[in-house]
Order: sequence, then C-alpha cells, then structure tokens
Amino acid sequence: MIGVQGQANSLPPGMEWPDDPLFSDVRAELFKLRNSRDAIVGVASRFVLSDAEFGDVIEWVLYLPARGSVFVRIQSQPVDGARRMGELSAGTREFSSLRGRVSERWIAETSESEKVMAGRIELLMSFVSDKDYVLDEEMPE
Amino acid sequence: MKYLIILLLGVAVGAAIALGMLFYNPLTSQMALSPLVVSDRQQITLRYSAVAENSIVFTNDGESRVFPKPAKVLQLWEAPIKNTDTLVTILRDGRNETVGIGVKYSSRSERTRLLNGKALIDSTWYIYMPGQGSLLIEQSENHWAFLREIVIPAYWNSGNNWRGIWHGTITDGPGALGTGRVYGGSGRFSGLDSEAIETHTAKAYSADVGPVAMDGQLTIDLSVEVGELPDDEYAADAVTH
Repeated sequence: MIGVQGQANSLPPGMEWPDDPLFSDVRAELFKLRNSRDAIVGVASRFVLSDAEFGDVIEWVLYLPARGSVFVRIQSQPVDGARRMGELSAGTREFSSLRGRVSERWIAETSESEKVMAGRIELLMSFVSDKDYVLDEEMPE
Repeated sequence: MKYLIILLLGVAVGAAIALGMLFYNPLTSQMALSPLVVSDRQQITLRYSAVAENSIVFTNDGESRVFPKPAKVLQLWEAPIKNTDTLVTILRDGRNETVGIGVKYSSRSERTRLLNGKALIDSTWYIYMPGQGSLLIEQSENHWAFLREIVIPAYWNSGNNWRGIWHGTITDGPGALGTGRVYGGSGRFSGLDSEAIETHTAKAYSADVGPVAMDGQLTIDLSVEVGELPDDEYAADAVTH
C-alpha cells in the first residue's frame, strides 16, 4: 500500500486515501517484511512525515507475529547519499529490552521496463539488550 | 449394544455440560470498569470505525469472515503472517474531527486459553497525528466477552445476526491492571511512557461478514513523562476526569 495525496493511480487499486489537508505532508506505506533469507516474517509500515512542528522524519513499525514489534525513527536525510540512519525508539515483547541503531537503504533492481521503478528497502538493525545476563561459569553452584 | 449407547449418551451429555460451563462460566466475566476510566489524569480519546468496510485499508489472509478492503489489496496468506490482520484507519477526536491516522496490527495469541475465558489477540497500534506527533501502543486484547455475548448469539440467531448495544473494554494487558502500554515517538509525545485502553461499542454483527456497526475508542493516558506540555488548543481535546 502507498498512501499519499495526489497519486494518479492508487495502490492498491480502489483505495481511497483521505484528501484532508491535514495529511498533505504524509506518505504512508505498508509492506510484507522479509528476513535476510528472503522469507516473510512479518508486516511493516513506513511513514514519511514532514511536519511543521517537529521536522522531517521516517518512522517504521515492524510487526513480527508472536514475537513483538519494533518502532524505529530514521532521519530523512541520507548520511552518505544512500543510507539513512536512525535508532530504535521502542520495542515490545522480546524486543522490549533492546536498544540500538538502524539504517535504511533503497536497493534498485533491474526491471523489464525502465519506466517502472523496482527494488526493495533494506533495513539493517544492530541491537543490544539492556538486560544483564549471567554467564554459566558465574552461576552459583 | 446397550453399553455402547450408554457410552455415547454419556459422552454427548458430558460434552454438553462442558460447553455449557465454558459458556456460562461466571468466573470469566469481563471486568466492567477499566482503571483509566476512573483516572483523574489527563487523557486523549481517539475514535475509529471498527468495521473493515469503513477503513482505508484492511487486509488479512483472505479466507476469514471479514473481507479485505479494497478487494485487490495484497493478502497476508504466508504462514508466519496468516493469522495477522492489518487495519489502516482515520482517527477522530471527541468532537468527531479527524486528527490522525492509525495502523493496527493484530494476530491471534498463542496464550489463548478458552477454558480460562481468554480469547487473546496481540496487537500494536501506530498512531500519527499531524502537528502533534506519533506514538505506539502495545496491547493484549481479550475478546472472550465479545465472542460470548455477540458472536455466538449471532450464530444462534435464525437470521445469522446480532443487534443491540454492547460496550466493553478489550484491552487486557500487558499492564498489571489490564492496560496497554504506550511508547511516545515524535512531537509532543516524545518520551511518553504511559498506558492506554481500547474499548468497542457494537450495535450490529453478522455471522457471515463480521461487524456491521461497531466503533472503537482508544483512551490514552498523557500524564506520564510527556515531552512537552499540551497547549491550550490541545488541552481542549483532552478529556480530564
């Protein structure tokens, strides 16, 4: 799904994105989420916000059923021309004790028609846990 | 032969008693009052239509009672997301004015225990309100009361539907008092670490297509660690008990 005002062809076909001026600076997208082995593991939303109150930011929510959700905020300006950097804002369930950084990159893929933009978004996440783990050798016997 | 008939009758009567106890179990009644309802802290309420047909986008595995909208939206048929629904909807404030967009992910929980009156759904809301900010809500929902008081009567009804007025809190956790957890994102909600509940008000339900007339409401506690105090305009929308 791509929700943005002024779009000639809605995606999915038949979707009626609200034309309220309130949403004039919002671009919303929904994706199926794949892991590094290209297997679908969840669903995700990506909101590009251009808000007069708090600036430009990209917000992702990655929802992995039975595991939890990851809420990520990414700066809209790329740091090296291609990669945008951000950090974990919040995690739920098994991601609740994590903190760390996230990068987003668009990877273009070849298409039969050069007029059709094709590709995928790559998210790289490096998280560490706030929890203190006790190693086996430190466990009292 | 006589013993076989007695055995079958015993099994049937036992099953009927078990189902009756499950359905009428008084220990599984839903808590009538949420702690947020009687709270004197500052809150906001957001309303939405819980009928998929009224949403911007609704998708599921495509084989459920509730049909995806629009019809050509990608369906979530792959095994890891087969039990997941995704809803994109307009959110309105207490004065019925549009204030934001919400995305709700929900999936059947592996912690469901019908014998304990727990028909659980894990859900996550992402909410964006232009000019105000964004936030995430994590909650565990218990739909047992909804199933018992609306869905099952709809199946029993000769017209395969239910009509009436039902109002209930579906949030069941993860907070100890049955509240969901709120994480602030951008804007004035930055740094927010708070609680929320979701309630449903149903007026009509069809056993064939699911909810026909049903509204949802999110009540979000704003009193804990809000990054910026609300201005006057915003305070007008806030509900203070």
